[in-house]
This record gives sequence, C-alpha cells and structure tokens, in this order.
Amino acid sequence: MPGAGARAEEGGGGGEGAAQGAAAEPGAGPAREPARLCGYLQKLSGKGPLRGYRSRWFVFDARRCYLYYFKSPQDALPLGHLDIADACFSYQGPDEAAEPGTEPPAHFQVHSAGAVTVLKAPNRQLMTYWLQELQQKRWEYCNSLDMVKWDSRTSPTPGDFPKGLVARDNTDLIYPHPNASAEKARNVLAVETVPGELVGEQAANQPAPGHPNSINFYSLKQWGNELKNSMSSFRPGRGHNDSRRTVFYTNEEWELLDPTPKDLEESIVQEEKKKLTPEGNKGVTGSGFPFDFGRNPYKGKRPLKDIIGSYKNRHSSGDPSSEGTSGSGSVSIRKPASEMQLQVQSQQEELEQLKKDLSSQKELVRLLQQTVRSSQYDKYFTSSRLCEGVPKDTLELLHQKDDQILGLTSQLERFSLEKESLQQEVRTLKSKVGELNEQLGMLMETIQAKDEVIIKLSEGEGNGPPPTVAPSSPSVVPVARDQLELDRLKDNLQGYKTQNKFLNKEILELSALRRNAERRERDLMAKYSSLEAKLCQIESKYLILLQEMKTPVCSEDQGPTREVIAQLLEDALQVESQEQPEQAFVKPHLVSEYDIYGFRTVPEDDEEEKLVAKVRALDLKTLYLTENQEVSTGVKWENYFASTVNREMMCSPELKNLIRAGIPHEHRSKVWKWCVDRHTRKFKDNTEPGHFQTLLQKALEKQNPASKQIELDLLRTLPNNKHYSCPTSEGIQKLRNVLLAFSWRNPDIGYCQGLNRLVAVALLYLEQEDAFWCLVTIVEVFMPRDYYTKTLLGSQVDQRVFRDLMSEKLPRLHGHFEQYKVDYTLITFNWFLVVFVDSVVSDILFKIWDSFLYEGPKVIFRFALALFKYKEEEILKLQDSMSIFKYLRYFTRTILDARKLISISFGDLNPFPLRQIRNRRAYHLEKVRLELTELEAIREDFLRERDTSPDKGELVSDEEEDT
Amino acid sequence: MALRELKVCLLGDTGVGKSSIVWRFVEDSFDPNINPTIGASFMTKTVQYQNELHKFLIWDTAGQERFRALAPMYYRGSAAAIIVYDITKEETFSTLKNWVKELRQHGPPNIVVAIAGNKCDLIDVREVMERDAKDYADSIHAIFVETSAKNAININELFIEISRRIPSTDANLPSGGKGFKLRRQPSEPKRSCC
Repeated sequence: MPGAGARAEEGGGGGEGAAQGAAAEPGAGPAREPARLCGYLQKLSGKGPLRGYRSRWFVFDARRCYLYYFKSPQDALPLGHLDIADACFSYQGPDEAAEPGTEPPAHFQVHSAGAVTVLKAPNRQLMTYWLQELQQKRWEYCNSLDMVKWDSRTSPTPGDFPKGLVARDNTDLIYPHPNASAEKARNVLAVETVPGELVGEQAANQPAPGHPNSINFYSLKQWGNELKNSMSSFRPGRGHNDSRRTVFYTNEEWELLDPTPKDLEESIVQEEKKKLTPEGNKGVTGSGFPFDFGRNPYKGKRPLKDIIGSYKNRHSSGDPSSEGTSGSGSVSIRKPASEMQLQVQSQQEELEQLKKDLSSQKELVRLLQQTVRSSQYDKYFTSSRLCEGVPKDTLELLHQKDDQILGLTSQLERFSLEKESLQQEVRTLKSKVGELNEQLGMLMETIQAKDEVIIKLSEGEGNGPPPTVAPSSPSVVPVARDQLELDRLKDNLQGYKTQNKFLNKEILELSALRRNAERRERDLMAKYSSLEAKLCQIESKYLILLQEMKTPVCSEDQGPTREVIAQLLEDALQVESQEQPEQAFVKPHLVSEYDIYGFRTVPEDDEEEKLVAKVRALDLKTLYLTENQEVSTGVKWENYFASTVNREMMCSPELKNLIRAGIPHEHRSKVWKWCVDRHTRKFKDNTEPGHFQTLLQKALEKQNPASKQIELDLLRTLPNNKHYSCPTSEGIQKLRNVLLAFSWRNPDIGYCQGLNRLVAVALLYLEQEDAFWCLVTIVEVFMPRDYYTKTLLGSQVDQRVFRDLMSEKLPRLHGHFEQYKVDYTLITFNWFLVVFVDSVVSDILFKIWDSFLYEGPKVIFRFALALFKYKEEEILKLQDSMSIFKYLRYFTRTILDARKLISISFGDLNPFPLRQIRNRRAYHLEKVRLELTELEAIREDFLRERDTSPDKGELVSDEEEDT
Repeated sequence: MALRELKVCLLGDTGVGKSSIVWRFVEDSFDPNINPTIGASFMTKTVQYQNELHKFLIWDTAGQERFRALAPMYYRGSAAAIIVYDITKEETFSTLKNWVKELRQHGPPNIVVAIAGNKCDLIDVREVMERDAKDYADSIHAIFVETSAKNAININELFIEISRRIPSTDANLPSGGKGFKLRRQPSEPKRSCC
C-alpha cells in the first residue's frame, strides 16, 4: 500500500491540471433508473516518464459487469474495460505523515484479470462511493449469474421505465434470491445501515430518494453544489502538494447553479437541528464517559455509504459551516463539532456533581442552624427565670433547670460532635470528588494512549512515528494545539476504521462470491451433463430416423417407420413440464412459452404449424445466442444516453444508425415515446392538453359507427399475444380506449381494420395516450392521405409504387413474378397497411418499427424490398404460380436474421430517395383515382338501392339499438 | 388423375366467418379469435373429386366495407365465389346481396356462386330464416348451404358442391346443376398485371 501511495503522490505532482469531475447522473430526469454508475476518474497509465493519471470517462455496464472507460462521454468506442465481476478492490489508508487537514489520498486499486489498475477519484468521498457501488454491482451481477434466464433477453436492470404493457411484464424476472445465507453474511456489516436509511429524512431538503441502495445526484442543481463543495474541500494551502491545482471538467451544457439564499437558510436551520438533537439525548442518558464514539451522531458505527450519504446531504444543502470549519484548519467538518460536544458533555457532568454536593451541604447547614436556634431559646428561658429572683420555691426549679441546662449542654456537645462528623463527611466527599476528577483525567489519558497505540499498530512501519502527544492535563479543557493534534489522530483512526471495515466487507464479500461461484460451477456442470445427455438422446433419435429413412419405404409396410416418427414427433413437441425451481435450472430450458413481447412462441393448436414454430423458435434462439457473444449494442446505447445528459434527444446520423440496428428492449419505450412526441408536436401544440381524455370521454358517452366494429375486433387483435388474450386484460381495455378516441378524432377514417394491430403493437411499449399519438403519427403524419379511408386509395397507390420499385431494385424477381402472373401486391398490401404486424417474427417486427417510427414510411418500402431480396433465390427456384403464392404467404416468417435483413434494407437497397417515392405516388394516384371512379359509380348504384330498401344503413340501426 | 386448379374467393361482411370457414376446410381447426383479415389471405387445399384432383386456391378477403375496393383483384379469374353471411345478423345478408350484384357486374362470367349461412350452431339468435335465404339463392341459381365452421357442419360439403358445379374440362358442359348466369362483361377494367 505505501508503494501505491507514492505513485499517487507522483501522479498528483504531475500537475497536468487534470480535468476532474465526479460521478454524474446522465439520462437526466428523475424518472431515470437510479442504478446508473458512471463518471470521471483518473486512471494511472503510460510507461516510464509518461506514466501518470489521465482523466477518463467511466461507465459501468451492468450486462457484462464491465467498467468501460472512454476518452470522453461522447465517444462511442471505449478505450478499454475492467472486469468488475472478478475484481477485488483496495485502497490506501490515511497518510499519517501528512499535514493535519490534508485530504487523504483518493485513489484505489482494482485487481482484475491479473492486473492492477490504479484509479483516482476527485476526492475521498467519491472514492468510497465508487468502491461501494462497484462492490454492490459486483455482488448483484454475480448473483444474477445464478439466475440467468436466457429466454428473458433483458439486461439485469429491470424495466425501470414503466411504460407500455411489456414493461409491466416483469413478473418473470422477479426471482427469489439464490442464497439468502450468503447475502446475510455479506450484510454483516450492512446491518448497521438500518438507522442510516434515515439519512434521507434527516435532510428533508433532499429531493425524493431514489433507489434505496445507492446515492445519486438527483438533480443538476445538486450536482452543481456537489462540485462546488468538492471545490471548497480543495482550498488552497491544504493540498499535500502545493502545486496541485484542480480544474473541474464541465460539459458546456452543465451549469453550476448556486443555491438560492432561501435554500441556504433552510439548510442552516437543518444543520442546527442536527447538532442540537444529539446533545439533548446525551443529557438524558448521561453516562460519565466522555470518549464514547458509539454515541457520536456523525461518526462511528455507520457504514461508509451512510457516512457519505450524510456528507452529501450536507454538501448538497450548501452548508456554509463546512466551509467555515475547513477554513479554520480542522481536518473535516464533523470533527470539531463532536469534540465540542464531548467537552460540553463532560463539563456538564461535573457541574451536576458539584451541584449535588452543594445541595447536600446546604441541607446540613440548615439542620445545624435549627439546632442552634432551639438551644438558644432554651437558654434564654432559663436565664429569664433566674433574673426574677424567687429563690425559695424556685430553687428546686432552679436545680431542675440546672439539670436541664446540663442536659442541654451535653446535647449541644453531642450536636456539635455530630456537626463535626458531618463536616468530616463533607470533606471526605470533597476529596472523593477530587479523586474522581483525577481518575477521569487518567482515564482520558489512557484512552489517548490507547488511541496512539492503535494508530501505531495499524500504521505499521510505513508511516513515521506520530508527533508527541502532549500529556493531557487532568483538566478537561485541552490546549488548542493538542486538541488539533487529537483531532487529526482521531480522524486518522476513523479513516482506518473505515478502511478496516471496507476491507472486512471486501473479504466477506469475496468469500461469499467464491462460494457462489463454486455452487454455480457445480450447477453448470450438472446442467452441462444433462445437456450432453440430451444431445446424445437427440443424436440417437436422429440416427434412428436416418436408419429408418435409409431402408426403402414400402407404402404398405411402413408401420415401424411411422411409429418411430410419431414417437419422435411427440417427444419434440412435448411441452417442458413445470418442475421444481432448482431442477428447472439444471434442466435446459430451451424455448419459453412467450417471447419478451408477450407473443406465443409456439401456437397452441395445429400440429403442423407447431413443429415449424418450434423450429423457428429454436433457430431464433441460436441466432440470439451467437449474437450475444459479440459486443452488445447496449454499451453504445448507454453511451448515447450518457451524451444526452442535459439535452433533449436530437435527430442525428448517430441516433439514426443506432435505431436502425434496433433499440434494445429496455430503451424502446423511451425512444418510441420520443419519436412519437417529435412527430406529433405540431398537433399537440394546436390542441388543448387533455385532447385524448376529452375524446375518450366523448367516445365512452356515445357510440359512433366505428364503435361496434372496434368492439368486434378487440379480441381478434394479436390473439397470440398474452396481453390481448382475454377480454379483461389490460391490453384490451387500452386498445378499446385508443381506437375509440381515434375514431372521434378522425371521423373520416373512424376505424379501419388494421388500425387495431398498429395500436396493439404500440401499446406494448407505450402508455395509452402515447399509443394514441403513435396512431396519429402513423395515420396522419406518415401515411399519405386516404391510406385507411373508405377506398384505401393511398394503400392501393402505394402497392403500385412498390411494384415500380420492385422492377427497379429487383428486376429479376419482378420478371419472374410477371412470367408466372403472380400479383405479389395481393400479399404485400398487408405489410404496408399494418406495418408488418403478423407478417414477420416479433424480433424483426419491433426492429422495423424502431426505424419506422424514427424515419417514417419509407422504411416500409425498404423492408418490403429487403424481405424479397433476402429470399430472392428461393423464390426464383419456384416454377408455378401456385407454389409461388404459397411460398409468399409464409416466407416472411421464416426470415429470422434481423441483422442481415437490416443490412439489406439500409445498405444493399441504397440509394433510396424519398423524392422518387413521392413522384411515383403522384403518378399512380391519378391512375387509381380514375379506376376507382368507375367502381364507385357501381357502388353508389348499390347504395341507392339499399337506401330505398326497408332496412336502412347500419349507422341508423346502431343508434337505435343503443338507445 | 387430372389435377385442376380452382381459384375460389370468399366474400362477405366482416366477422361472418370467412376465414374460419377456410381454416376449417384447410386445417380442420377453429379459433374463435382469428385475426381480422387485412387485404386478403391465401390458402390451398387439394381434394379428390370423382376422377379428378381439385386444388382449391382460396383467396380469403377482408370483410370490412372499405376493403371492398380491393375485392376485384381477388375475384378476378375465380372459378367460384363463396359469399358468406351470418345467420344471426340480418345486415350481413344485405351485404351479401350487394356482393352478388357486384359479381354480376364485374365478376368473371360463369363464376359459380355459393351462399353460405355461417354460424348455424347459434340457432337461438337466428335472424335470417333459412327459407328466405334458400329462396334467394335459388333465384340466382346459387349453391346454398348453412354452415358452422365451429362445429364443422357442411364445410366440406360446400366445397364438394362447388367441385360438382364447376364445368368439367373435357366437355364444356356443366357436370352438375346449372351454372350461375351472368351477363358477359364487355371489357375488363384495365390492370397492369394479372
């Protein structure tokens, strides 16, 4: 450790004016998940004379438990990463030799993958924050490993963005904790956190607390304060290297907001309260021992996090006292306060003792005075009698009185004796008090000596001998210098305690993790062998099948073959039965019943289809598993969001490319909502805020021609998705609301079959109102006019445009279709009208929708062409219209490789100018219009006949039925 | 054995059970919550009829009114059209009449028309009398049958009857009852394809 310390010094001396920041909270907005860990740290790197600290932007990626570092938050490619999952951490204790008031070194070591990386945080508090968080992340990650469900393709971070139906669908992901005992062991130290949870309450001016386990910077304002405060702790003259200058890194978007005076006042009041309350408590409990760390409110048995937490509270409140005390040269803010308390406490103790003495003595004096008064009275009485001079008959009386006097004197004597003894007692008591005082002093001295011993022991030989401690006088009021020294030592002690605690926790945690890892390994071995067994089984089945196939099949005598195949089929389709959880883990769980979007992976009925679906699900899984090996796009997204800390997401080529590759499941709600908001801004500006609610209210009050059809179609919308499977499910209700509201918004369309599927897909990731606006986006912004209206004019036009594009982009295929008189637009019509819902596998569907919602309807053309191009060769092999149609009917669902499809649609098909589509549309629009007028004439003919017939149009009868 | 491809299209109001009839015929399965058809869907099934194999190419169209604009694409070149109505919904029967008229105007000549009154399992809520429908069908020389896709009633029979009515290839005479008489369309609307 001393070596590392030396390196740190050298790094600091580099004086490169290193940019420093701290952990920042990107993805601004209080709704963001609190668990994000990123920020600036300095990394020791380079060789020889170039060796020094360089500022890097660190981002923790929870998926792989890597701590990536980038040159800047805007970078897309990391410079490297540290594997936190198998890392252990340590840090340097307080530097004994340092001047009092020196900030302890804020660097720590990460031992990972056989290498030691030295990182330096801007200050000590942030270092502990980082360490704590990294420990936490490591723990979470290692435990989540136990639970890995390959089917649920979500990152360990659960859906913090509660939007849409899919997001709410986290029940699968909530699993019991694997080993409570390990958790317990780990929490041995964390047990003390319980009171620490009150940190948030103590600082009432803190905004709503987020994740209970982590400290975050909730707002930029606080963030600014944080920076300011850390700056104040780097006051000039306090650094251990005089040349050390601190420059804070800020993005131009970041601004440092000063706390308003009111905030400051409030925080001062808070601070006062904090100081007062514990003192009050002390008065009540009142043990005479002044050096009781445990009862100190600001230090002692609280875990690191809470200490930091309380720091933060105070820092964030812009506490001026912190600056004041740090200016006076004490090491930290909390120390002098506690010292003062200790003194006051002991003095109070003494005062009380003395008061008690005083009152007892007063009592004694009062008693004595009484006695004296009564004897004086007696005396007076006797003497008055004597003066009267009645010797004869009073002689006896006199004698009697003499006796009395005698008795009284003796009594007096007795009393005086008593008094003396009492005085004696008082004296002994006084001396006792003195003794006790002395004892007190001695005890204090002992404590100090003990402290020193502890410090010496823990310092080892690395640090010089502590400066001589002035022998503490019996007096409780110490000399200022000694007190300072004492403060420093105690501070160090505290530092060591923290470090010790940290290291203990580290050890505990590491051993727990090791146990976990062992158990996991055992489990994995078991799983591996069961997989191997399964493989063998499948291999043998396969061979049997081959054997059966090899022998010439005679149509009459195919009994055994049939049997074998039937048996194999049965085995293949067998649904994995529900087993005990522990067994379920060991058992290879290949395909779950629903995918993450809630779609059934294997249909319930229809054997034929079932087998195909199972094959498809297995293929998808294979794809996913191989894809997972590569660096995930997740990091790119994380980084993108990190770069949008304080500004709106904006259209950019970078974002476009990210979206084209597909938005990760956990970000989809956010990005979709953003896209929809962007496209509908112009509408929203023109309508009152409650537009959707108003429409919905209207729709619920009265029916329109569309409502009946909507009702009819609700349960027929995505019936294979669990969110829409029963009339009472949330999805159905929302679907109804959105469609009804839209039918009132756009009476020209009202309701067109197909809109229900668009809404249903949107609702999977968006809230009701956003889904409504999503529908508005698609129908009123993206699609040309009359796409969904009475004659579907726009849709018909688009099919002709598409045909033109086919002949241009895929001339061979187009020719092939022409040759066999296959009108593929009969099939593709669907794709356009419902944007591929039910046409492609769900993974691809949502990726298409990602770029569709960002870029608009051109994406449909791109993907429609890409689907054909993907299977061009297969289609060209087919030689009759029937088989071509048959193939076209289902081929889209056989395409599973989203990457390939995406690279075709956005790469191979370029150039793809929108202008061309627009021109083509205009051209065909006229042609289709002409053709339609002919049909329209006939239809009007029908309608006239119908109107004259006794049963009127549906519209009227609807109204009548409902009233 | 000769193989004949017969293009058949299904027409009719939304929700009457066109797709269900096709599913019952092709897959012999039933799903009460089948997706509403958008545009059209395509399925095939081959059945043996006498000494021929009839391969039905079934175009199942969308029922909602506004999809009617697309219907000509599907019924053009069809050998038969099955117009489906829902016996529990009177208005679906009126829609059916409109379809008959449209076919008469625009459909191919000699197209075999079959009228299917679906959902005959729901006898309690019947709105269209079997008699009335039968009379109407007879008046236009159409096949008539009440069906239930749910309970698999008369579905196969419907297609067998269509096979019977399709004029046989060898002789250009109707093999069964009379064909559907339509006046010949003077000129097809011009289309670039098909």
